[in-house]
Parts: sequence; C-alpha cells; structure tokens
Amino acid sequence: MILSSRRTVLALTLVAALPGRLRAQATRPISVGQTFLADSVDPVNGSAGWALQSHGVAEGLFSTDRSGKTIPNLAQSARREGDGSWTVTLLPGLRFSDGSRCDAEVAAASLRRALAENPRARAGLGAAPRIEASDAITLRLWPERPIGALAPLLAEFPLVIHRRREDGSIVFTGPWTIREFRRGDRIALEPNPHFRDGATRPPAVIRRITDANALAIGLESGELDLAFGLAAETLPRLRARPGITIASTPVAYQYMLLLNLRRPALADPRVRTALSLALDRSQLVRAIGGGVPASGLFPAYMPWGLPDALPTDRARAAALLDESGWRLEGGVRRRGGEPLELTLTAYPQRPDFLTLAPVVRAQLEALGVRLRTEVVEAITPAVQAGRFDISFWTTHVAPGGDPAFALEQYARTKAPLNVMGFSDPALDALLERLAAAAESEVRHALAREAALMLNAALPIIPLLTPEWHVGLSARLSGYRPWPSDYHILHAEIR
Amino acid sequence: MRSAVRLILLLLAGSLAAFALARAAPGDPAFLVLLEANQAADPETLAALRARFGLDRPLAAQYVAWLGRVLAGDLGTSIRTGEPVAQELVARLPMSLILAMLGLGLAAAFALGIAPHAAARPGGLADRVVDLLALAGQTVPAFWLGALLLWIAAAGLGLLPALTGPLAARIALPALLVAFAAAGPMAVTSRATLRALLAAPCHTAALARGMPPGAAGLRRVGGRAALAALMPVLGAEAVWAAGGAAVLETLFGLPGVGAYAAEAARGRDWPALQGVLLAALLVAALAQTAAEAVRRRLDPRPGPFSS
Repeated sequence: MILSSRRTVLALTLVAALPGRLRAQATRPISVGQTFLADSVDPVNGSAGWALQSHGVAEGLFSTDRSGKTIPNLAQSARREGDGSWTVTLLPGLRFSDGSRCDAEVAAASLRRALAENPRARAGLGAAPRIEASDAITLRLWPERPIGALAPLLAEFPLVIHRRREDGSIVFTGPWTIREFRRGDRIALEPNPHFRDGATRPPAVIRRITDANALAIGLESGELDLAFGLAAETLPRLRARPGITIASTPVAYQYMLLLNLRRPALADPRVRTALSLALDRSQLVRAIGGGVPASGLFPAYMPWGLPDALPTDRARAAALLDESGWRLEGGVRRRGGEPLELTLTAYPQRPDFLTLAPVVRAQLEALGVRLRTEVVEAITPAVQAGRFDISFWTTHVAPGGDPAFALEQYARTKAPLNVMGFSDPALDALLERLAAAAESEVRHALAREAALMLNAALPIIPLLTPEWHVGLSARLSGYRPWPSDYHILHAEIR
Repeated sequence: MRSAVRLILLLLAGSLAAFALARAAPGDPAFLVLLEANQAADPETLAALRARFGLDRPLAAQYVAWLGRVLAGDLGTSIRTGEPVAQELVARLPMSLILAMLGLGLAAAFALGIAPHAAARPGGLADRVVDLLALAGQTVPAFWLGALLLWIAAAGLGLLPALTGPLAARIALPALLVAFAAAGPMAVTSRATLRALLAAPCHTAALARGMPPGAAGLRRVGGRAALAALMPVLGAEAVWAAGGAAVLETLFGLPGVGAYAAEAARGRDWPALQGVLLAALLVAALAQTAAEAVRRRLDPRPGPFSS
C-alpha cells in the first residue's frame, strides 16, 4: 500500500514537472558554435559589420535572399534620379533595439560614419559620397561615380545601419540584440523587442570554436544546437548519430582558375578551352567532399547563373591541342620542340586548393600538359605582378546580390582584378549596358550573356561551387541555412 | 640598477626580435584581412588598408613608430579586429594564466608526490611511470590527445560541458593536458634530486637516527631540495606551456592569449603578433625571475639561472 502511494506521488510529480521541463527547453538559449565571432560591437571596426549581421544583430538597408538576389530590407526601394543621384526610401516606423527611431537622418549618419572610418566600406560608393535625409523615411545619395545599381552596394556588410548612443554603445535593428559580449569567447543575445515582425524568439549564445573537430564534438555532446562550418570529414560520423541533422548548402565563393593570357601558350583560346575540357569537375567535387560542378562564373543556383555544368571532353581537348600545334610526343605536348609546360599556383589560406592541386595536375597531365604545382603565401601580389601561369582563386561573386560586382572586378578590360590580361571589347560593351540597366530581370539576362561570353573565351576556368555544412540538434532540425555566412542566425528562427 | 638596465636591454632586443619574427612569415595582412571577411581584394582597398596601418612605410620607420608607441604603453591596433592590442592582451591574460598555473600546479603536485617512490625503488612501478610520462608528455601531440580526451569526456561519456559550460568545466581538460605535458620533466628532475640524496651523508645520518627507509624518509629529508630543484623546471615549463596553450586554447575555444596569438599568426596581424611576442617575453622573464627567487629562498646555493 505504502509502495503504491509512493509510486503515485512519484508519477504525479513527474507529470507536474514535465510541462515545466518542456518550457525550460523552449526558453533555453539556442547554443551556436562557429569559427568566427564579432571582434567588436562597433561595425566600423574591421569586419565586425559582417559578423554582427551574421549573428542576427545588424542589418543593412538592403539584403540578399537565398538565391543570392538583392532584396529590400530596412529600405523598401532605391530609385535613380535624372542627375545620377539616388533616392532611397526606408520602411516607416523602424526602431532600433533600444526603442529609438531609425529614420533617414540616423541612417544617413550611420552610412557617413562607416564611409569615414572603415576603408572597406568605400569599395562600392567611394570615400565621400554626399548623403542627406530629405524627410523621415527618404535618403538622397550622390555617388562619386555613376552607379548602375545602388541596392547591392548598400547590401554590403560594412554599411549596416547602426546608431552610436551618447554613452558610446551602439544599437542595431536585427532580430536579436547583444546582452553580453565577451570578445573572442562568446556573445549572448536576447530577442530584440522592437524587431518589426513582432515574433517571439528564444535567446541565443554564440560561441567561438575555431577547431572543426571540436565543433563536431560539441554537436555530438549535445552542447551545441547549431554548429556552423563543419569539416567534410566529420559528416559521416555526425550523420550516424541520432538526433543530429546536417544541412549542406552551396555558397557563392566560386572556386576557379585564373589564366595568365600573357603566356604565349595560354593566349590561344583553343588551349584554354582544351584545359577546361580536360577537367572532370565531378572528381574535383569528390576530392573536397562536396560541392557542385561549376557552370560559369556564377553558381547555378543564382537567378543569373547558367544551369548546365561545364563539360568534360578529353577527346575534344586533345583535338584542340593538336589543332593549335601542341602535338603529343613521348607523353608530353610539344610545339616546335618546346614542351607545353605550365605552373599551377595555390595558396594555403584556402586549404581546399591544396587538396585540389594534385587532382587538377593529374587531369591536365593526362592530356600531355606538363604541370608544376607551387604554393605561395601572398597570392594577390603574385597574380597582380603577373607571376603566375594558372592560379587557383576564390571570391564571393555577388556579395550584395548583384552580378555586376564580379564582372566589373575581373572581366572588364583593365579591371582591378583582371590579372589575366583579358580584353574583349564586346564584353566591355555588354558591361556598359549592364551598368546602365535598372530592371533586375534585364540585369540578370545581361549577366547570363556575359557569363556565356566568359565561358567561350575562358580567361577564367570555373571549377566548382563549394558546399558548406551546418550541424543541427533536434531542436533546430527545421533550420534552413543561407548560401553564405552572412545570415547564420536569421529572423526565421523562432 | 644592473637588473633594470638588463631588463631594458632585454626588452629592446625582444622588441626588435618580435618585430622581425612577426614579419618573417610571408603574407600580406591587408590581403588576408579581406580574404577572412570575404571581401574583394582590389588594389584600391588594399592600398587604403595598408596606408591606414602604416604598412606602406619603410620597415625601419614602422619599427621606430611602433617602438615609440610601445614605450608610451600603446601596443598598437590589430589589423584584423581594429581593436587595441594591449586591451586585448589584458582581457585574455587571466584565462591563460589560470590555465598555465592550474596545469603546472597539478604537474608539480604529481611530480613531488611520485618522485620519492620513483627514487626509492629504481625500476619499480613509480619509476617506470615517470619514464613513460617523460616520454609520452614530450612526444604525444597536444592537439591529438586533446581532441581524443574531449571526444571521450564530452561526447562519449557526457562527463562535462567542456565547450560551453562554466569556466571550471571548460578549463578542466586543458589544464589536465598542460599537466600531462609538464609532469614528466618535473618528475624526472625531482627523482634525480632525491636519488642523489640517497647516497648523501645527510640521508645516511637520518637513517642512523631512526628515519624510516624508502619513500617516506626520502620525502622528509629531501622534500625541500626536490622543491628547490623543481623551480627552474617550473620556470622553463611555464614558457613552454604558453606555446602548448595556444593549441589547447584553440581546440577548447578558450579566449586566452595563446588562441589570440594563433589567430594573429594565421592572419599575419603584425601589430597583434608583435604585442603577443613582447608580452610573452615579459611573462617568460618574470616567470624565470620568480622561479629563481623561490628557489633561492628554498636553497640559497647558486642555481642554473643564478648570476
């Protein structure tokens, strides 16, 4: 009888405690582990703006959607005026996390501060464009040079909107606000009560865990709900663990080869086409444990990306080399007795390239190209000085969601990063049309056309679109990652 | 006075070494900072960043400017984070000191505990453990052992939240690993000191006075000498622990100076790296000086670092 009563009491206690436990689980902060953390809460310092945006704290006037396209965010529109200036209209009633108004005057001050104090903010707009508020929700902006599309420039992370308060602290508009900031260790976040969707979301703690193995262990031990940036070699182990989900997403950091067209062999488009045709991109993807074979300069998932992967055709590649005079003699392609000998350059800051280098080498050597590989620490000075034949390269090809960015950086004649020495007047003319086009559909069509022209000329051989991997606990199993690291914590998490 | 002059000369030489070492590895900090933030490294932005941090000036001018600021107590601004280096070091130093002191304290306690047994019975279990530890501590890589221990303790057994828990839970495993690396050399030194005592007249006399033979007697007669002999090793291990701590702090996500140094080295963040190297030199000098002072107090005879 006594035993039975004890069991009843125990059962009732457990039943009574259960909803409380569930409530506790729901309000427990989301525990996030990732390799980077904002080094500062001031967005004008270093790349803090990017990290704060990624943490769900800061936002820009414009943003990018999952397809990489620019979309309105704090601003609802950007319109070019006849005199080359721009009118940006903000959403009405915006507030910072402390409840203060986020109007055009404050937004203008935020942009001016970023441009004055952060050299990285000046890449798109120039150092000192005139920015003024016309009324509570309208900004006027006079760029230093003509701009075809302003929204993608305002979507770049150095230009996140913030307000510096009198006590020196800084407030933002994102779905979370900073409760505790421990540099290099963790950032504790709480929901922003003034965020415009009015939704309830749990608090979160983001921890810096730079070791990829430790990140996986944190997920396995149940310490992390979200582990961002998992290494490919940890994935099979994690997938086998009950309660853990892996979400993988292609990201716009295209892997590519830059070709130095000043080298006589590479000046011949037939040789460049042969090199591209000799590459088996599926094998490259397998070598680094994930990714998508490239279809062009832009990832296929972007609205202006080309749908079909670049082809592999070794017979056609061999025929093109024969046609251009590089004949196979004793296993090596030669012309006039000289071997087709090139150097493939990689850099250690992107470890994937060190994995890919021997695979690319093997594929091109099978064609009879004699390829030497080298690793240089400082890749930019090397390629800018022309000290390369073929170099690995990666960059985010549309950070603000605009196709013109990469094309203007790499493809236009004498562009800042046109280290290949490539020039195509027809492509330059097309880029002029792209710069002048305002409609996004028109811009996308022009970008596709430009990508096709680049695929025909191949000053750059696109390799693959890499994939990033996010590990999730059962609590966040519905999480959908962004195809970049710009929005790890985002407003859809509730 | 001589000590002060020597310290100033040491710091001057150290500052030059730190400046040269930071720049010894090839790499462009301005490029790496843009790469880390996934920004386009176009020539204009690179030039603006280099100009902002004075990297476009001749090396000699950069050194003189940096030294001038250091003398005024300013270690410069991190290229990567835009934050003052000195502020960063001050914020991170306590974590590294706690880790080093806890690890070395555990190692010293272990060494002093096992050494009398190892010295009293050559070839016995304690003796073999000391040999094994001296070998394993120096040869097993900290990152491998750390990852294994982390996986077993956190993911396998669920013993403690080693990555996200309170400080005690986060520091327990790395402190054990620091202790593991330092315990071997410390135990070897203590054992050698006590073994030498076995044949010393004071030990024979103590035995004649009725002191029990074996480990207990050795501890009583040689405890102070063993502790004194441990001090120079402790000082040296403190310097080595700082290097090992960089690996452990990175693995366990601890915000210490070691992790900061590793990030600064990876990003060729020269001001941060120079600051860390200078601070490490200062800490090493202080650790050696403190260890020598304690050793002198325990044993006034000249030691290995006496002058």
